[in-house]
Amino acid sequence: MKNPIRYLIILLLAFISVTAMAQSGTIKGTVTDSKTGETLPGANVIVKGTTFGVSTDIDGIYIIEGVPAGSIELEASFVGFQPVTKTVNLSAGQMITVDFQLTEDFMMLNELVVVGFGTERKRDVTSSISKIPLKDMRDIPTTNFANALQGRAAGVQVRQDNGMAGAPVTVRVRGTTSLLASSEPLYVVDGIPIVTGSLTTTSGYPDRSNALNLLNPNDIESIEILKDASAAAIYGSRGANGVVLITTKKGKEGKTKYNFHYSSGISKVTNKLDILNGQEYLSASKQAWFNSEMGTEEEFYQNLPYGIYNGDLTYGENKEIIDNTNTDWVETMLRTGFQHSFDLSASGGTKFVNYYMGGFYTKSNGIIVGNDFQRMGIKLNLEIKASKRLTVGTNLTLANRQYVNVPTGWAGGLGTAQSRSLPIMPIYNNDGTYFAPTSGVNVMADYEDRKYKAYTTSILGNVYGKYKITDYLYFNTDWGLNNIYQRETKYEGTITRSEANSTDRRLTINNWNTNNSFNFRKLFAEKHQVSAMIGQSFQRYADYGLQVFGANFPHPSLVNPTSTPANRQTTDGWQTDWSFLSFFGSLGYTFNGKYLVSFNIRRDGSSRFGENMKWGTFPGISAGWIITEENFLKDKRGLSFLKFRGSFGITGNAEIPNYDYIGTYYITEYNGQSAIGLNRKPNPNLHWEETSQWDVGFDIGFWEGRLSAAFDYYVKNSKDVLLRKQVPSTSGTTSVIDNVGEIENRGFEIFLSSFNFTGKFKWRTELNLARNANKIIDLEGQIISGMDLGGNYGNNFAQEGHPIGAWRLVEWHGVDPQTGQDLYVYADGSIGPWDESDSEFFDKNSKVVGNPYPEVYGGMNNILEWKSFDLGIYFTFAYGNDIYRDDGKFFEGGNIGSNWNQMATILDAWTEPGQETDQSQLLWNSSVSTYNSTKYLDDGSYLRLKSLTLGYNLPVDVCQKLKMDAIRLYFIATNLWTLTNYKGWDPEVNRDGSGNVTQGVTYLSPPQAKTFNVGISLSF
Amino acid sequence: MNKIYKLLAIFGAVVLIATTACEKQLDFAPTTEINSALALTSTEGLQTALLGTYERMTGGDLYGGHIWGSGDMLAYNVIKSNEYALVYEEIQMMNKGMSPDNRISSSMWTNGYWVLNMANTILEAIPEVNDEFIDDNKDRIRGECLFIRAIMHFDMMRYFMNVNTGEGIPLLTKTLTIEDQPARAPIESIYEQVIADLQEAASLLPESNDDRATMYSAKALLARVYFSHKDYDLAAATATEVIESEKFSLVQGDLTGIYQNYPSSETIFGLLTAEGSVITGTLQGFYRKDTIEGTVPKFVFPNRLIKIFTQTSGSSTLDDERYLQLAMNYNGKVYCIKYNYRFMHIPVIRLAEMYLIRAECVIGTNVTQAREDMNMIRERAGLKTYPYENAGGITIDVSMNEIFYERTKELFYEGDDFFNRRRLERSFQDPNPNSSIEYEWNASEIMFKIPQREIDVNPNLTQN
Repeated sequence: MKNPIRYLIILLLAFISVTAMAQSGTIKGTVTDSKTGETLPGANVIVKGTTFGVSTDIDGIYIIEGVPAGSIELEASFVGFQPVTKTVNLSAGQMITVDFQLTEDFMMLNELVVVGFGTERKRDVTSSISKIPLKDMRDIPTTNFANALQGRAAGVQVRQDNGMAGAPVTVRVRGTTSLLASSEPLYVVDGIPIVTGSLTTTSGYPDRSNALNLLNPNDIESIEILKDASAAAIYGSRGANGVVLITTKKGKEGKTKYNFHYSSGISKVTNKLDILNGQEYLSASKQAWFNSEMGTEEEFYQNLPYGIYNGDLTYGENKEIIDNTNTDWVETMLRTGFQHSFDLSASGGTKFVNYYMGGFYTKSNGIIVGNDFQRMGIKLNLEIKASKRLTVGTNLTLANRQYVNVPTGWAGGLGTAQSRSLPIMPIYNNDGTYFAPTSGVNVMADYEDRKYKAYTTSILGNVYGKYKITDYLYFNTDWGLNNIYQRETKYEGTITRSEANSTDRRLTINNWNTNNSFNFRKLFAEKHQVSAMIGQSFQRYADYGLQVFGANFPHPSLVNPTSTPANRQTTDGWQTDWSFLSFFGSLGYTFNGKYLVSFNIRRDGSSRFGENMKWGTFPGISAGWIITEENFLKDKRGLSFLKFRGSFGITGNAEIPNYDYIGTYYITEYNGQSAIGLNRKPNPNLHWEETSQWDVGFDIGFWEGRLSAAFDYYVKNSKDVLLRKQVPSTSGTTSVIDNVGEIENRGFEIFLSSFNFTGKFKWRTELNLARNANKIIDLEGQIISGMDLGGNYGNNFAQEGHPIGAWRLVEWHGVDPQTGQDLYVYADGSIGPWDESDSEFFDKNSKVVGNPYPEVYGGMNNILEWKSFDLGIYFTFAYGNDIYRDDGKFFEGGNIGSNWNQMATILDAWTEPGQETDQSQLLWNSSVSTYNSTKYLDDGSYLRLKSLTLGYNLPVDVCQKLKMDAIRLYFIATNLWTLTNYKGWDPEVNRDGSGNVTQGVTYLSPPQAKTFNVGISLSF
Repeated sequence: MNKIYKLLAIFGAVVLIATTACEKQLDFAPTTEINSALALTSTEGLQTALLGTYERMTGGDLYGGHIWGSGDMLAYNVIKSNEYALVYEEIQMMNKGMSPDNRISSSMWTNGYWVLNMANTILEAIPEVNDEFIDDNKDRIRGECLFIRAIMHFDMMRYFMNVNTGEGIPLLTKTLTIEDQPARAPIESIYEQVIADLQEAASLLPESNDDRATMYSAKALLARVYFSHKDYDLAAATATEVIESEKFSLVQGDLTGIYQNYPSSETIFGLLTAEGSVITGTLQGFYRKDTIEGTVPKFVFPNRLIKIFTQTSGSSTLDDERYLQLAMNYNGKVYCIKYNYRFMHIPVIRLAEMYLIRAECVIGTNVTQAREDMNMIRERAGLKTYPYENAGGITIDVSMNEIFYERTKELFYEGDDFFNRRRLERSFQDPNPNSSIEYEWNASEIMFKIPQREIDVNPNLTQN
């Protein structure tokens, strides 16, 4: 046996030095389309096992010179065509001609699909898996994973919470299955379950980041989403919310290929709210003042609660100043964003080694002043055939993120600019200092005064080995890390407060895992394809945090909290540990390539559960029948492929806090001494949430797959749903986490792909559409407010017989034209005003309304190609969901007289009997309009032109003159156009991204961004 | 091939070790919290849990805020400053339209019962501990727990009780499980239990106790409880015990010392909050006006309170030291500045109240004593002592009415007036001159609603 290291070095040297061989010949030929006979310029022809390879020219002709003589394997490939391999004999000095006819591949049935711990051919897959190949999206300039995923896979709902740079992403696979536990899917990158969840607890600065935020979208080869239980069962207790498998790019045999992408562009808000300017605000306020008979006009000015009225000036002077102040606070917090990103990669390989390496950089200055996101990193995927039997490799991403954020919502920034910063407040005093309102906020001063930054470093990588025991038995092992180090700094200065303070927070996440499996695959008697796998995995997670807060700096130049007096410092620390130990196996059998059955099982142990509940078993089974392989359907014209499939499986969800089964006392202090208090009562019976799901579906293709479709119908039933069960406070706690409820999700998914035109003018349409109906079956009769489940506001509830997050609201019935009062529908059906003397008015008359989750949603992509141009038109849509404008009740007359600017709709307020309007009479500081009613519940349906891409690929001959393989120039615009009846900023916005119940709620939330980018891709 | 086998052998060993080690890796102890099974197994554990119970009592939901502030909101004792917006729940209190989902009352209930449960948990854990320190501490710890149990029952009852039906609140004399669904105990039996707990606490507690509950704290609270229960003879006798112990003396001169120093010479029982800036929903959030730090309060004085200070001072100018030192007149509004300190001291029971209690209890039988007691209070406030001639030339002597006003001024914004007026069965009148709204002392509008979430999980609870 040779020394493998030496072998490797020799190989690497061979790869670097391009030495001409003495004994060589030349191969040439033409590559054409087998259907049309047209030549295919730009197709790749390589000599397998060597670095020899070229692209065809404008006439589809290729020439490879200096090929070593002997038996040669040649492969021709072209995007969208099935690759063809030919073996030829080449003698020294000879020139031979090898032509290729490639056939267009519409359905890509032989494409490999990544399943848990292995791959399957697409045609053999019997469970429901969506594959998102990245060639459709390689040119989408996205700094966020969400844009790449949204609307691409049926049944996968993806939403970026808002348009801020680096904003978090919410993903739901086939609906929400849990109330308390996370409903986010498990993300696995190259076999490593990555860290997800919020990396910050600094209030007002939302960041639900994960390692995806630290990946370069251009490094991703494909994304597979395991949707049904039989596919996800291999991830056992972690698969109930679906599994997103991300595979990064590997090098391919052939000479080194370089890819370079650069894109740059601007962004703007999608929409702006029509809120009052200074004059409108004053006149509306006066109207309210007089309507409420508060006093004279002079008293009105004197009593403006914001400290604008200056006691040193006369009434007339004050009135003059106040009447003429008109500050557009929203404008001060918005800007035209700028983003650019580039990445460069080199990939290639020989028979013995392949590699993909690169670097990436993204900078994005968001649409909201002060919100900047920057990411850079390096990527290395390397695989070495160390011997005939052993392959070793590594997948590695090291990344760095710098995130400058501003508060959102009520906490500051844009949200405050719309509400607490009133248009009649000046930005500056006469002396140039910031105006400091006694009530309300000067958002400019507040912005200047608060600085928040997060620096994050992530290590994501593994090493793996694949050992071929025999031709049909492999041993696979991989060992991975996903470590995150983050430093957050927050500084609050003295413009708006008497003393400065700062916080420095450090977070370390150590997370490692290993997967080890034996994989068996053998064809017996040419008919019986048997595959089997048995394996084990372990994941250990720990995070450690430390935070120092300090106030009262001795000098204004200081910002580090440790430079404050010791008695003004506080420190906090925390630590979390959890682990999973798992054993799993699968068995697959295919008869004659048409009857398919597979079974898999996983046994999981988790540190989150008590002694008797630690272990759970999760099985999954699926079967398929490729009916077009049967003789009676074979070669039937038109129908080219039809597969029926069905599956059933059980998966789990264990995303709950870590120590609930033992119960804990928290640590505090009293009068300078240590103190403790009951935090959680123990619950030794706590166990997994269990989701059983069955799925039936079919894949169908017509005319070689020019038209193809996939259909799935599923019912997903989650039992023992982990929930904070409300208990009497007399027990010392208000709730315990327990396995309480039952939730059902049922729905269907349709995926359609059609090659409408092929040939010179190509037009391809892809449509995906999903319907999911969510219903809470059992909650032991409880009605749980979203706020009790960790959400913020919005009046969402969880209750039996209704979708998760349906609202409880009193039905609003317009404005009484005679009295100008808001009218509501009472429980007995009669109509009248809100009875303020009845403290139970809301409880008596509210009903369950709305659904925060859409009934139908999806996306449609149209790609048109003509000559060197291509056009992508991509729509996303959601239908049937509602959005509760939780800010509406303060925005529309409710808080006039208090610290809220108002929407322009209040200018139509009722003023005289007989007037028909939707806005009740304005009253000074009235609480009537601030009640939760259906007035603020809007239809959230929308159709959005998510992206429009125009690309130009330089002709092959031009590229070749420039010694390039391909050059592409493109323009892309996102969120260009939206059709919606929603009255707020943007229908694709949510306040509490991660919550299960408080979905479909906005509260001064930042809007989405409209982006315009130009870019260039070079490949050489 | 050798190398490969070596590699495989090494690898196999690693997997084996890792996997067996993993089994143990499925158990983690919390590192920044304490396993509940281990928390109360030592004297130190009992002591830290006791301190944690005091700490919870200092929160905004209890003595740091709403136990004192809610009464003043309900009694029209505060008006909006218009400088800091009120929350929905506060507006309900101001408008006397408390709903069952009012978060102020539900948080008071939740936190109050948390405190009661902790007190009972510690009481039940004392016999289980047998380390070397327990003998020296068990009486004191038991006494403190009984004191906490008494004060918490008493103050919660006063907000949630229905005086018309006699229903109080669930009475907790032992720890309850999450399955227990206790009904509301009669007001009378809560008084009985509170009195019994305080009597036992007084017998167990030392005379001084590291600034926490002492024998005198228990007695002073007992005086307050008797007084509230209209057992005036017992109240007077108990107040006398505290006064005559001579452990406490009225703060003279700088009255801010009562609130700034911990404990002051007149504090019989006090709580100390952690350092903090203004937090809404605490006494600081309600009242603190600091023109230098720029903090703004939610509430300012209503005219009624200013009038009481003016009209009962006995002189033509408003020279009451309590007004001059503990209130601030700024831009036409009057602010309370009792709670302006970084480390906020909450003087839950102080000596002045003992004098006020005794004076009222004995005025019918021993007017000299009543006058002497009241003069202690008036003298300290820089006012003329009884009897005196007012600006109109009329002689004023101690009377029920005088005691009432003196009490209002002495204990303003200390959580007393609302309950005092209900004890005296006085009504609450909307100070708005255009309004004729008036609530009787037993009106249901001024009773806290039993939190809806409690009724939802405990069907034995009845609503007010």
